[in-house]
Amino acid sequence: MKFASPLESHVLFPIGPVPISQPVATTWGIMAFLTIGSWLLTRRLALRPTRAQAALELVVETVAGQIRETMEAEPQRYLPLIGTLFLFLLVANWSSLIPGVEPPTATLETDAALALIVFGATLWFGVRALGPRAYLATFARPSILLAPLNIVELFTRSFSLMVRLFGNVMSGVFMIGVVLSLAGLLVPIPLMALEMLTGAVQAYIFGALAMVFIGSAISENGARPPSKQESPA
Amino acid sequence: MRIDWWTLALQAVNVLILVWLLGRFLFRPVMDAIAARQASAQALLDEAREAKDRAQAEAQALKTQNDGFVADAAARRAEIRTEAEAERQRLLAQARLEADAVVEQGHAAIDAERGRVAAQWREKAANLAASMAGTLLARLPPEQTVQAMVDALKARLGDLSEADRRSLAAAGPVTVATPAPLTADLQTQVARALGEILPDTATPIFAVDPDLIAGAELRTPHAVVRNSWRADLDAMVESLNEDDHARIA
Repeated sequence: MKFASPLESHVLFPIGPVPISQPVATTWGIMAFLTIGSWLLTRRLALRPTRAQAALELVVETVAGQIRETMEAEPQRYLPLIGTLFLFLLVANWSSLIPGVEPPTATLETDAALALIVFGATLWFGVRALGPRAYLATFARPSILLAPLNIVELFTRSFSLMVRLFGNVMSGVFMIGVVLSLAGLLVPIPLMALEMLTGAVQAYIFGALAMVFIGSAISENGARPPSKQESPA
Repeated sequence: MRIDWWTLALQAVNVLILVWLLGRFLFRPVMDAIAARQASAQALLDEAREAKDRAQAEAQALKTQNDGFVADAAARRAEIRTEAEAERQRLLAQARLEADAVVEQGHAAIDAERGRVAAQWREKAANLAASMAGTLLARLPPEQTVQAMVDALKARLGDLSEADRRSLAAAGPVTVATPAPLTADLQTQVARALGEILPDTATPIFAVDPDLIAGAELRTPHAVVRNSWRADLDAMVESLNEDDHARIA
């Protein structure tokens, strides 16, 4: 049996000069699902919450608490980005459970786009919090001699963010595909359960690392916040 | 390996749009709801705290008022106790005075009764003595006793001052009282003796008074010269009574 390369994007249809690949279409579906679901859940929020509202508030408050704890800052400004990254990655990773759907995070372009957004958000929030000069000065800490390394680290950690997510998700999808092609329908189920766990963990790790990168950018000393450290996946 | 830059760009734009959409339809409403609930809870807490503060203030005011009542009651009790003690002391003093007065009256009554009884006994004793003396005197010849008594009367008159004798003579008719009737000779002797002592007086009138026991008395409208055993006994009884009064006092 022949498998398609996970490094190749398959164009479904073009819109003018723009080719619409399968990850983009899946992402649109996920966006519609999340947006409509959010609208349905939040259109009748009450002071006395229902169970669904309580669960929704629990998720949002948990993400906000993580931001508050990791970045040591008020979460209102960062909650849309971090929360969206976490929810999108969670739903995208778990979308592989739907037959015929390939998670968009299993393609390098999607992960690169996410890493690029985190990279840009790191610069944006850092400059916004400290000002351009003070933010640039954080690269020269603790010593000017370490400035090149700090600049390189800025790119490499975003690159590692992309590669980590891509490797984990792609390998899971690829492995399930291989097992599914070799064994029956029920055999991959344990692997799919494991893939669910891996997808949730990867979503959490990506969001946590995004918090750490942005948190280090908005702190005065430029170092990573003391509560969280980058952890390899 | 080939990077599809269109896909990369579209995915980046998609995620940015999703960030905006979820921020608009999920995170902001939920955070607003949480903030509204927190504000409501805070308002309830503030209200409860204010109610608690008010209740504590009212409790403190009531406690202060109660303390005032207790203090007033204590002061009132002390005042009443003081008044009651003063009233008790006053009543005790009054009762003591009344009791002392009653005791004093009792003592006075006892002393008076004792004095009255003693006077009665003395009077009885005097009467007995007079009776005994009269009985004894009855054994003697009347001339001797009358003569002796007339002599004693003459001596008594002789002891008076000249002025007293003159006023006695000027007082009017003189009556000579004796316990037994005098004989004519004795009346003559007495009249002569009076004439010598009281030269300006008229002829005396003779009267009989058995109470005199022995002796004689010279009586005028304004004065009496007593010289009888009755007078002596009366003087002795009176002296005894005066001694009793002095001893009781």
